[in-house]
Amino acid sequence: MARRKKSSVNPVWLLIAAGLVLVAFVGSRFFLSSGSDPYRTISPLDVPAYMENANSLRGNIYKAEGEVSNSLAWSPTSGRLIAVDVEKDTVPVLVTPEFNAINIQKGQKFRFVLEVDPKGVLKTRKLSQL
Amino acid sequence: MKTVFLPFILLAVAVGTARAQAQVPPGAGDSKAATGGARPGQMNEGFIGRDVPHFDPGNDTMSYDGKLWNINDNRLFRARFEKYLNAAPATDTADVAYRETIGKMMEMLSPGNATKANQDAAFALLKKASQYKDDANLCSTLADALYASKNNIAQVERLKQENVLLEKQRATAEWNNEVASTATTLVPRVAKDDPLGQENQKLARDARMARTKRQLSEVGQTIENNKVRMAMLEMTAKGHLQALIMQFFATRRFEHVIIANRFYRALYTDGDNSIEVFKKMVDTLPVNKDAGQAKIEAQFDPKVSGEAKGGGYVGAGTGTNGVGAGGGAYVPSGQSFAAQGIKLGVQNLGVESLVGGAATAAQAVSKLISSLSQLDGLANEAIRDVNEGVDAYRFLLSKNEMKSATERLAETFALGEYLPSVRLLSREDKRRALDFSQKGNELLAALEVNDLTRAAKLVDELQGVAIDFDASKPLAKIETAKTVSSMHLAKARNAAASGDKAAMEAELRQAAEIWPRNPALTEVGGMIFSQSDVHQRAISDFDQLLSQKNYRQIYDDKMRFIAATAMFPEKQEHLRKVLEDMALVEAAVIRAQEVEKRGDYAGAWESAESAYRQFPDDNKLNQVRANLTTRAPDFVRALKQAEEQEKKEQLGSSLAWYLKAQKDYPASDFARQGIERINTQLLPDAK
Repeated sequence: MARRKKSSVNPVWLLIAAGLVLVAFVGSRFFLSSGSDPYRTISPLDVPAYMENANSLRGNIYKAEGEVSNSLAWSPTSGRLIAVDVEKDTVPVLVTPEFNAINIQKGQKFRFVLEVDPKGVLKTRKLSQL
Repeated sequence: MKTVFLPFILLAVAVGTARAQAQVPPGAGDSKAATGGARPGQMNEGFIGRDVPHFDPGNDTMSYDGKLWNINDNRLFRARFEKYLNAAPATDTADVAYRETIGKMMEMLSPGNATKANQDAAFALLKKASQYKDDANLCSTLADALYASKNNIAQVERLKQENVLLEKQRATAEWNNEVASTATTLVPRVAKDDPLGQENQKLARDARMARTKRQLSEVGQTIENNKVRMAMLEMTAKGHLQALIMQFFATRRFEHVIIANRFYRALYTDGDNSIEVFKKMVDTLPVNKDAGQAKIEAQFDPKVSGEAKGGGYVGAGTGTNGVGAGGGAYVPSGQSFAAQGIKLGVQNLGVESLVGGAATAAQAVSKLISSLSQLDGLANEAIRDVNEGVDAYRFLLSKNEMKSATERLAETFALGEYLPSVRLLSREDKRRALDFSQKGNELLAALEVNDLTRAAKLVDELQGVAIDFDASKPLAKIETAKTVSSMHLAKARNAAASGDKAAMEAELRQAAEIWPRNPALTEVGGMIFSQSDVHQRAISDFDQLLSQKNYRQIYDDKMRFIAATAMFPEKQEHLRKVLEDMALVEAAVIRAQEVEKRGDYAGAWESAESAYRQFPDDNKLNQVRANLTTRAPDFVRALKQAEEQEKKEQLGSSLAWYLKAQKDYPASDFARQGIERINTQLLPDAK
């Protein structure tokens, strides 16, 4: 007696489908991340280099994300000097008066675009709370 | 006793020709014992006045012209006595022969034996005796004097015989004169009323008598001249011989006195033994008062040495000193230790002064003695006394009473130095006295230079050799001096402790003067000077450590430097500042160690670092700081980096490091201060 031919899914197709799913996931992640960092073209601040010799970085612009650890001083003309924990270290950041409208408190996380001024102090060019 | 001490007087007068000018120990001139307390010795001029020296046996002092001289305490006598004690006994052949000759002469001239033949034989022996050295040619001198006297006597005899003849001539001349005055019968008589005839007759008689008168006058004058010459010759011969006898007596040649005296009696048989001739002669001796007199100057310092105190008379002393009719017995007692400060010297010693002194002395002696018989008696008495003294010495020697024995021998020697009994003493017998005498002199010398240790040792030795040695006086002096010296040393020690350098030196000097060889003086002086040395060294160390900023060493040795800088206000101020600073350092160290114990290494380090910045040279602090650095390395590194960047004016970097340090140790003052400094620079108008 003749037997009827049994129908089944080709395993090749299954492998292709899994690869497509993986590519779709990775791509989505890539696009998602690129889309949330508006300063992705700016170099991140090299904290050890800054602590070693800030003067050598004068005029450069860096981006950095950190948590405010302390408010050091405030000047009506110069702005607010705060301590920001970046990575494992703490760096001083001078928040210029143009950002006076932003409340900056201890424990808040911010994303900074910073310029190294002639005194080696990190001045805020841009800042956004995370 | 006067006979005993009279030769002393004569000796002093004859050989000294000097006046003692002495400061004597208190009481030295007090002849109370001798005079029964009636009058002090110096007040008592005696029946012969002060011109004659006299001896006070109460204290062994010779008094002359109001001055006193201790006869025992002089170097000359001691030296002469020691020379005698060292000399061999006079027992050799020449000595024996000399003594036999002298003895033979005395025997020949003794009363009853002094025949003409013996006198001549004795005179012949004079030449022989003078050949011996012990005689010192005195017999020869005596022989010459006797020969001169004999010549004078012969001359007188010749003059007497001449006068006899002249008397006959005078009788003849008188007869002739008488005959010449009578008119002859061959000449016619002249009438009484014939003046011219009378005148012519008178002229004729005068002419006849002129020759006989002249002869008579010449003879008479010659007779008178001869009488004067005889008197002069006799006086000269007697005077010279008497002077020689006096000289023998003054030089204690008593045997020569006796021999000469017996020759004198043999020569001058008129029984006149008075020395009036001698007195007249010496009275005419010139004394140049402008030349002054030789003086023996003695100085006595009773403060340190013992006083010279002799014995006293026991019994009814009724006479005056020296030549008085003292009836008591002299009892000597005590050894004189009056040597300290004695100075003996001669002033104004010259020919004129000596001649003047000799004349004065001779005049003084002539007042003492009135006849040669008296002199003879004194000489015999002196010989007897010397012989007795030698016997006494031997007896005391056998009893081991060396002190008395030595004193007796010294007295005997002074009186009869040339007599056989003294010269014949064996050297062994004399050596014992010499030993005692030398030790006594050494004791005097030791006391003189205040060598009290040596003096005490000598006192012990003297007590060992002489059972009658009275050690109480020297021991009292020694112990007193030792005590006073110790007191000065104690004062010096106190002065040194109180920093009174002047007082310390003065006390040390006084202690050294009283007892120069005091062992404690060396010890205390060394200790004081050692302290002084330590003091100086401490000051030097302090200055050096201060210049090196080694405050830790100063702090560790602060007690030494506190004591050392007590006399230096400026250094004391430096020390005070150092000690205050070091107190801060110590406090920081202690604080760091306490904080470390709590496990707060950063805090401990910061405490140590805080002190270190103020006192970077302290080793102990450095050590603590270094140890703590290893215990809080991140914090320390952060701070150091912050400070370094701050110096480089990398304010951003510096602030970052300060923030890191503060993060490591939130309580850090250094971090807080650093942050504030940077903030101020970055935000000058910060509020």
